Amino acid sequence: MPFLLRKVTRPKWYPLPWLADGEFQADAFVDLRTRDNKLSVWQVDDERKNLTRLITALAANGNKPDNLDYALLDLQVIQAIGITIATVNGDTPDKAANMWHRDLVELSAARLFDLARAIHQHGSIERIPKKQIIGLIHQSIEAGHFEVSDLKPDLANKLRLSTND
Amino acid sequence: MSAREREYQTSIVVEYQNLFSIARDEYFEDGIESDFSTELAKLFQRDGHQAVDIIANLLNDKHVNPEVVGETLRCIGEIENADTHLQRRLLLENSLRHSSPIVRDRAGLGLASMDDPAAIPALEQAIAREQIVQLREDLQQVLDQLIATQAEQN
Repeated sequence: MPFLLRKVTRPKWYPLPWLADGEFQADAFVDLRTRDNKLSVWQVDDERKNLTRLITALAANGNKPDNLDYALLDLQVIQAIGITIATVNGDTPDKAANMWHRDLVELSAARLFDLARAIHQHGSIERIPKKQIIGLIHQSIEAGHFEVSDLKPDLANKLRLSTND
Repeated sequence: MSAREREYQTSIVVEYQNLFSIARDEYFEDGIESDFSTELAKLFQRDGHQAVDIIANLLNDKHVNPEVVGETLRCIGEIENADTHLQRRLLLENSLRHSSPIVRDRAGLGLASMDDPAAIPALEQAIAREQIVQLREDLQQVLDQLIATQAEQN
């Protein structure tokens, strides 16, 4: 079964000492900010073969090199909550990765809470360090997944890349 | 210090206080330069050592939001300035003892950006006393990076 990935901030999901069993931080909802009752996520295949490329595409979409925190949740869990998933192209420098973008649509507050609880109970929340991200972006450029000119100028400058690279 | 110099010093501190106050409402996202960090970097470029001193004092102010403190520490780690390197590293190391877990995490990320193996002992101590398993893992990730950097340098 595939997974859905959502970019998050790992500390917002830490089990802080004052939380009761099964509870999670209210701040976690900051990572699930909806727009038009939709939430942007990305599909990862069941063997996670596209995970590294997807993470690199997401990191390459920023304006500075940084660590990337993400939550990964089994698609089956999301379907069990009754959330509708729509295929909508993403907007990263990697055109192939953009096809893995999905929107969780028609989200009620109750479903959003169920989703947050599912991430807390069944999801895995990981971090790719900045130093590794920088290496991955360089590798993706070498592999032709995207070009330096596809990056935001600030990111390219901070990576000391020029359009001649 | 003359009255005029004192007045100038006070106005600089107020400038930082105002910036920290406005940042309370800002949303910080990994990989995205915040307005706050852009402005802070400009002030840092102008004030150098003095900036680190002012920031260190502000970080001890309990009224400053932990997320703003965290973003400040990330910014402190990303600044490329050899003159203030030691002062910034020590500020980040001290912040590993902060009461807020997000601040401790951000201090770790700041140290990862600096990539200075001299922070290894402070990180080892922070990991030893950390009670939150996930945060301990995040700090361990930074420690592993600095140990690898040290091995490359030797």
